[in-house]
This record gives sequence, structure tokens and C-alpha cells, in this order.
Amino acid sequence: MPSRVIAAIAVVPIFVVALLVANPGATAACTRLERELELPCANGGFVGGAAELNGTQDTPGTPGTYDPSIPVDPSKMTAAERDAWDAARAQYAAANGLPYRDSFVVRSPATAPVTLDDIASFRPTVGTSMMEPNGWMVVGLPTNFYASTTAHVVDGTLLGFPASVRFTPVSWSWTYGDGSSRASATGGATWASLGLPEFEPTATSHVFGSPGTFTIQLTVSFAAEYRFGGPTWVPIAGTLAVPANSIVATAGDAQTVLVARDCVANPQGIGC
Amino acid sequence: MVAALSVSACAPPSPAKPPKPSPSSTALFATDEEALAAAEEAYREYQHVSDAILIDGGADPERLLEVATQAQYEYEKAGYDMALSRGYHSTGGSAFDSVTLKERDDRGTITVFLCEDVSGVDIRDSDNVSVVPSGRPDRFPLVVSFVAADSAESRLRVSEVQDWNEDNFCLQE
Repeated sequence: MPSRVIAAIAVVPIFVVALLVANPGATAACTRLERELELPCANGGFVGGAAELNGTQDTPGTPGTYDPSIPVDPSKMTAAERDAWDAARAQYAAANGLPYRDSFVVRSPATAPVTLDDIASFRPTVGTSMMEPNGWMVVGLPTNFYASTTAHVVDGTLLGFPASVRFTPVSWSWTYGDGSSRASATGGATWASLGLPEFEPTATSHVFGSPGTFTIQLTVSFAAEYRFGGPTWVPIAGTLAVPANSIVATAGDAQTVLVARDCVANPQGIGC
Repeated sequence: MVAALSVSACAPPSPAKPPKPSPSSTALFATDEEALAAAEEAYREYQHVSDAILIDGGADPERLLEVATQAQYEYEKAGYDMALSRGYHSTGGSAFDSVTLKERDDRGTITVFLCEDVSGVDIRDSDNVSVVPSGRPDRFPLVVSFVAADSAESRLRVSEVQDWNEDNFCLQE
């Protein structure tokens, strides 16, 4: 039986496997949107091989007759029907010299879309929440908040198979402790790297209106994608919100702040 | 067959006319031309519905079930879901040409080559900015399969749409 020991195929809906049998070699299945946007075909474009997992499995099945002209919908089959269908297709493929892969393996990683719950064991690194001036704010002037979050890949086990998850930060949300908050599509940067003078507004700055001690909390939302062995990253629906370190800092008025500093030691300081 | 023979035996001889295929034959389409015409009609409807769903940003993708099989619908639905989640929508309509028959059988399964033309389609994000990669070709060679929507009718549904990765027969002169 050609279907006894077969490499498992991940992320390939069962009907794509059927297409491969019917039209070997020169075709690939992509959605229209993937085609028109030149995106990788997430459901298994079968160009140069799909994501493959190493595995040896055996499925009992009764060989039957397979007629490729009969449209079938494997998603509606029972497990036993699908096994019989697999076996019949394997026989047909062998008899006609076609490439064939058993579809039973599709039930493991590909029966349902991978969700954020499935990747709970993969922890993104959120980076460090920072601010400047460091640890204090001037009432009425922008304080610049920024984070060191970057996209990164975490390796681990997904649905029982070795896999990688790529986390890409997509949104940074600060709550400033004064009742206000801001969500930003950028993690921000220092004034110096933005080429701005100190106390200039930035995409991630905040102006505190009154003196006091505030706890500033950053939460970063990540988009997640996964892959098993293949080259294609498959997006996972939704985003994952991860809190970063909180910062406790004091806001004072400019006079209060400046008395503690020396224009000789810090000639760049405000008011000097 | 016997009936057809006896009818032609009684009829006046007309050697110029070839015998018509019996309508009760198992073949859904008598000729390749009829099969092609039905496939073109079915693909025109399919494109129309597919365009409408993308223009609506991927909403109500079940509309595709009118013109496609369940499996093809489920496959394409991933793309419509992506449009919804990313806030994409399309403008304009797609077209096709250069339809040639690849194969067909008596059960009404027809496979054709065709050139999909999306030069009239733009895909835009929620800010109405095009997300189509620059330099992307506007014409794709496809292999499209159809099955009979109903054994009693000659209407077809799209059962597979695949990219043809060998010679690009859709390059414009």
C-alpha cells in the first residue's frame, strides 16, 4: 500500500490534497486574494512542497474504486469514509503514476485554524518600557515614552509538533496613571534618534497636566504567525496583548524640577 | 440506440446531416462547444459573485455557494475572511478570456484553461489605499474545473480554481 508510511502534511485542507492527485505537478491552489496580492498561499500553495512534518502513521482502510471525475467533499465524510477514500485514491494514484499523500494526517494540525490559545506556550518578549526624561516629568511639557519591542521568533511545540511562532508588535498602549491613555502604531523612540530637541511632542509623548506621582503602564499587542517546517508563515487571527514593565515617575512644574539641576553640569537642560 | 437506428431507417435519407446525439444519452453536453459555452457562462457568474463579495470587503461569502461547490467555497472563504480582517475591499470587476477545453467527461465535469484578467480590479485597505503590489501581472493562467450543479440541469458550478505554473499562455502580445 502506498499510503502506509507517508510524511504528514500540515496546514493543507484535505481537498487541496485531492486537487494534487487530480492535477499533479503544474498547478497550485491559492485563494483569489492571495493570487492578486502575491501573498504566500497559506493553505498550501504546493509550490515547491508544502510544510511537511515528519511522521509515520497508519490508517486502516478498505481500498475501493476511485473515480477522479466524481466531485467529493471530504469535509463531510466520516473518519471511516475518509480512510476508505484515502485508500482508494492511493490505489488510483499508484496505478496512474501520480504523486499521492495520504490525507489522514490533515486531521492533526489542519482540521481547525490555529488560534491564540493553541500558541499559549509561546511567550513573546515584550521589551522594556522607557521614558525621557528618565523618571520625571515636567508639567505642561511633553514626556517621551518609548519601548524596545521588536518582532521576534519563538520556537516551541504546537499541536504536538515542533514549530515556530513569529510575534510582530502592532500596537503600543500606554495608560499614564492620570486617567488618560494612548494607543500607538509605533513603539516610539528617543528624542535624539528622532532628531528632535528635548520636550518636543512625539507620536508617543504625553503631557501631564498636574504634579504628582504616576504609574505608567505599557501594553504591547502582537500579531502572531506560525509555521512548522515550511517556508510560509501562517497568520493567526487576533492579537495578543502583553503588559510590559510599569514605570513610576513624578511630575513637577519646571521650576521644581530645575532647582535640582545645574546649568553648568547640564547646559542642555530646560531653562539654561 | 435501437430506437435511434429505426427512426433514421424510416426517415428520408439526409446524408448532409450527421445524426444528432440522443438527448437521453448520459453525456451532459453533446459537444465540446456546448461544454465550453456552459463553462464560460458558469465562470462569468462565478467572477461576478466573487467580485461582489470582495467589493463588499469579504462580507457574506456564502453567496459563492450559488456558483461554486462547497469545497471551493470553503477554500476561497479564507481569502474573503482575510479581506474582512484586514479591512480590504476591491473596486472594479475581473474578466477572463482565452478559454480552451482541457478535459471533460460524461458526468458534467469540465476542466478548462483560461486567462483571468484583473487589470480592472484594485484592492484597497480601509484608508482606500491600494495594496496591490506594483509590478504584479494583471493576467493569470488558471485551470478551472466545473461540475454539474444538478444532474437534471446543464448549469455548472466552479469546483476548483488553480494557478497554472507552467507556460504562461496569458502573456499579452
